[in-house]
Amino acid sequence: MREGDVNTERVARTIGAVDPRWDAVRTEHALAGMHRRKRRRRALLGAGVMTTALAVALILAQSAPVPRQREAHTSVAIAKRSAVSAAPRPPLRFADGSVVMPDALAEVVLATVSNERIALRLDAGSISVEVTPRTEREFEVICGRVRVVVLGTGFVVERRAERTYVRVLHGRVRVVWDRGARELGADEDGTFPLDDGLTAAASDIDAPREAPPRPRPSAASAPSAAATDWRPLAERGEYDAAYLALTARGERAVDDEVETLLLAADVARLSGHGVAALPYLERAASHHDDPRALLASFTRGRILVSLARAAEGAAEFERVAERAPTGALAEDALARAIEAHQRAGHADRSRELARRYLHEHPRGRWIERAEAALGAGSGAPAR
Amino acid sequence: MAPRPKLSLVRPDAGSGVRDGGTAVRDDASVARDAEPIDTRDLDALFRRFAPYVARVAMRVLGTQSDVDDLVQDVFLDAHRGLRSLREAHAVKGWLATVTVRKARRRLRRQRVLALIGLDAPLDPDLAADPRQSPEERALVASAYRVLDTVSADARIAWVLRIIEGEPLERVAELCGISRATAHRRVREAQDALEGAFRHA
Repeated sequence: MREGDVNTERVARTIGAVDPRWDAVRTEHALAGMHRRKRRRRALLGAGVMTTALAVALILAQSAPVPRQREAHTSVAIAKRSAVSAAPRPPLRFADGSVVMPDALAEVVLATVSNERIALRLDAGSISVEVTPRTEREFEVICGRVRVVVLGTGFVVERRAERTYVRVLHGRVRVVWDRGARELGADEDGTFPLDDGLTAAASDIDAPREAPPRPRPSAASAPSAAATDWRPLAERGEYDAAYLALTARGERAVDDEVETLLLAADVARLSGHGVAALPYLERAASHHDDPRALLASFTRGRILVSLARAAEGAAEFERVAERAPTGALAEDALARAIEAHQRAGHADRSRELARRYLHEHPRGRWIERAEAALGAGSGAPAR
Repeated sequence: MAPRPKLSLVRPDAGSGVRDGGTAVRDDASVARDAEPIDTRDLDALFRRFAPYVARVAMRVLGTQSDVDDLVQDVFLDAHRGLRSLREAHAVKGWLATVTVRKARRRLRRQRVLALIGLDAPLDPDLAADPRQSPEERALVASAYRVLDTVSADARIAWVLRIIEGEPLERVAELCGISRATAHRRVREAQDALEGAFRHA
């Protein structure tokens, strides 16, 4: 073997050992993104058909009265504009290596660029941001009433009507709004500003235990919301509107189908009402013969932990790991149970599960966490 | 300690250390699972099962995390029609790999053309940001992708599939739509570039 072969074998081994950082949570996020894109493609196709139809109508209407022609021109312009806005957008790159990737509908304004600070304003759509850490320069995204200040590296920001969804891929960010602030770490997400008394994040951030869910719509808006079916709104990704319609219609709006229950839970969770998602997820999780029951249970665990109900969250994660020990969620569930028990102060149980994790997943993604849990409180280095 | 899984497919010259979930080292359970019949009409279930695989291949080919979510979604949206006629998991996986390679190649080429005319910078090899690896390992990964940036996109893809993913040469040829000899030449092209760069490393 030549000398170079030894080195390239080491290169290959090192690249092969890189953690792809693709877990069940990221899968769900990407899946939701895929459905959004599918809907956009359909809308684009519809806009294309409409443009063609209007163009044909324009040609046929050459001899028609002037006002009708003007109306047709306006519609064509709107259809064209929506077609253009859905095109893929190039990333925005900075000299220090930081990258901002807008989605097709994003409206981003470069508000400030100086040696001390970069500030972007997100008026619509969503962006993914990878920031090269530089202690001497602040990087932030302003989105409505919310500021996302970068403490680490990668995150996603999405404008959702009056609120802002933030998901951290790795590193840390600080989310600041007029009445509060929260720090989010890797794999954590939330919708901000948080409601008064209602903590919104479907994430792992520490949050006060919530009061029982309250219907959000005002008395004046309730009748019209009640008349609206929440499902089409949810399928279009309009979660705030869907939640209004869902709460207005009450329990009868959600039947006992797992798919409907998961959709209702998504609506509650993604519109910033984590507590309201819990009963739907519990019902979905009770369908033991359905494979999606595990996902419901897992999501329920995440929400419980985010609501500082770590012990309940840990129990939920353990249930997932027990019910399908070789399933796709088992490894993540076990790792999260270790952390949740740590948060709940159950050090012994956390260590016990950490030992089990290392035994069952000797090359697992969360080895560091398990080793940290094993070492925590024992005064001895892990393993 | 649980018994070590029996290995059924190990590329003899690699020792690439691909971890669980990789294709270079697969246990019997994984092989059996790939032969299971599968409902290809349920796109969500397919996505949940195969997105991690597609993401891993895409990340290793692109050398970056930043474009991967987008590429995974693209792959499933475009692959869906072709998937309907398939009935077994290994066939689904194969089709998804083909679409992933095609899309990753297009993305690499577009990126290079844009960089050439000064409209964009090359993709950042942020796979090197894995916090579980040592600083030395991270530097090695970043350097390797910088070298892979200097060879053709086809050679880079062939090398990743063969050396990192551990695919047999025939399969590399099939995924890239080329002959076995061409696949071998492309793997060699990338391998030579890396050997040249790391000979004195």
